[in-house]
Amino acid sequence: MQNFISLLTTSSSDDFVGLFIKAFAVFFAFLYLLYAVVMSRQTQIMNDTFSTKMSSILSTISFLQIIFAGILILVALFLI
Amino acid sequence: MALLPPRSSNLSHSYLVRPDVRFTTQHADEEVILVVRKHPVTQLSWIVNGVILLTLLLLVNAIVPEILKANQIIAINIFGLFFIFSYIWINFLLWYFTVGVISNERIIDLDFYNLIYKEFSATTIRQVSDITTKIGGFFGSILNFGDVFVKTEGFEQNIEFNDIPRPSAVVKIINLLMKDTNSARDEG
Repeated sequence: MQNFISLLTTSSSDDFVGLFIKAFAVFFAFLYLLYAVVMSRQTQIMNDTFSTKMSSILSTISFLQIIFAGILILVALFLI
Repeated sequence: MALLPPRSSNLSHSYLVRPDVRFTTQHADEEVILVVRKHPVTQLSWIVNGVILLTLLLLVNAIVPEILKANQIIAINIFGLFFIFSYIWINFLLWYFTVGVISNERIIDLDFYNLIYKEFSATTIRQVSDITTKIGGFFGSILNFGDVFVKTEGFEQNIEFNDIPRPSAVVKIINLLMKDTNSARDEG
């Protein structure tokens, strides 16, 4: 736990602006994950309601957003 | 069955005749004759917004390098791009799945207002009593798109297709289907 806290408070985010950006990024990344999960589920529902040849592509893109959300969380925690 | 147009689609996939699609509650012997979506011109608002947001992100890149560190700028770019992509993706999906479906048995209006709210209205061709089209405005007249209102007998569901391409052709197809249904009923 201590390591996790130090991870959030150290690295390059020593100044106030940096800390603000990091906090915002972590918050936004988790919101994006939530959105991506809802989006993926809703795309499945939409495809079930009305399915076309494009259905699998649309589902894949929506699912990829969950992976992107994971990348965003990593970026927010480690890159900033 | 009366002479309905052959399989075809326009460039924007907003007017599809006899497409290879399936919808929920479709009967085994039910054939989809026509699928319509809103005309792409009506979607310009979110497309333009997406372009503006991308331009703003580029402007931010031109301004902030002096204030922020390199990794922070990269992160802002990644987050900005994801936000813009999400905005465009949601709007695209809402456009793509908000369709009007005309089958040989029914007329279906499928509306997705946002991510978590949908409306599914359907009526049988037999129940249709009146069809009205409305083409208005500069772009509507020039690009030939407008609304189609399908009224049904009594207190049954009324159906609206808004801003669809070729509303007159849609009415023509519904009329042909009504004629078929009525002649089948008379023969039966």
